[in-house]
Amino acid sequence: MEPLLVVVLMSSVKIRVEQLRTAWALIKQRPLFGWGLNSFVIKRQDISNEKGEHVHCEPVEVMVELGVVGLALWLLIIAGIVLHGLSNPMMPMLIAMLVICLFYFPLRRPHTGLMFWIILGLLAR
Amino acid sequence: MELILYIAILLVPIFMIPNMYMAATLAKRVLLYILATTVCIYWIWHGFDTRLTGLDHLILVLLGYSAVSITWAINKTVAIRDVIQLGAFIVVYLLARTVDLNLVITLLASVGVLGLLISVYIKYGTELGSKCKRGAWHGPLRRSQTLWPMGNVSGASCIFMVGALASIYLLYSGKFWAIPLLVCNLFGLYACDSKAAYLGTLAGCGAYVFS
Repeated sequence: MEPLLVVVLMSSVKIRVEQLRTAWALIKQRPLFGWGLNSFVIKRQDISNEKGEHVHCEPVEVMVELGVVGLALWLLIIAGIVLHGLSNPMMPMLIAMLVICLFYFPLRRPHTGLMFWIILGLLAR
Repeated sequence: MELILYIAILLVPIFMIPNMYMAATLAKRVLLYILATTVCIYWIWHGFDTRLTGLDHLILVLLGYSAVSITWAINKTVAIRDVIQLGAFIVVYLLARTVDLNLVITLLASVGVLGLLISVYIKYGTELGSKCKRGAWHGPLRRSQTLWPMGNVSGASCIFMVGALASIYLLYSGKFWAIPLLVCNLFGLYACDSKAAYLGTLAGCGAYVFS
């Protein structure tokens, strides 16, 4: 790998680790119902100097904002869709989106969120 | 009403207002709200004829819980915006259950290609593109790395990833005319160079192989 690429990769990993630390500190304070939608961007300022608007990991951000209850609802929906469309040839698209959700926040953006919900709809047929 | 979904798939990911590139997400969001509201008005006028399943009820519970969470959210205005966005996504979800599957898949495979064409136009056909310092397809536009008009490289790579997998689905169904779409989407993925999208595509391809 080129040195520049290594630096970029390491900084990206560092930002994510820092965000996860901040998110964990917030989750510990309000584990059940969370801090409310879009609160991470405000609450992180009390804990860290890191400047990310969202956690680059959807499940963790859901946990911060909607708590265990919100995450459980999300997981139930995903599990329901997976069970419903297990043999559906469109399942790889959902798997790919779920992988992206671990490293980015596609459900927060209108264009990527639209893709995610269309895939859910096609699998729920 | 299916037409609204087709329009949403084709327009929302690539929608932007010329010379207001940094407000692209806001423009996309507004367009999504307009389309979802149109569908809701149609449903109110003509009746909602889709049968709701247990899964749909669960999704509506999530919407309700998100709406209740506004009460303890710190910034209530932004929280309300997020709930409205979730509501619009759920409208899209309900529509997607009734539309022509092959057409939707074709549109999903095509939208990234359309975005690439517009990017090429902005890069080589406009003054803004000529000011771009580095990167053949994306470069520093003010502070952010942007692949016009699909937002930042993380969002754009997500569109190309879905497009690539949709193209593979079309090939899987024997539609070999999807090969150029696959090539364009893979090229878009390469242009974005997002590690998460590479991993997602790899996982999707793995699922195709092992399913």
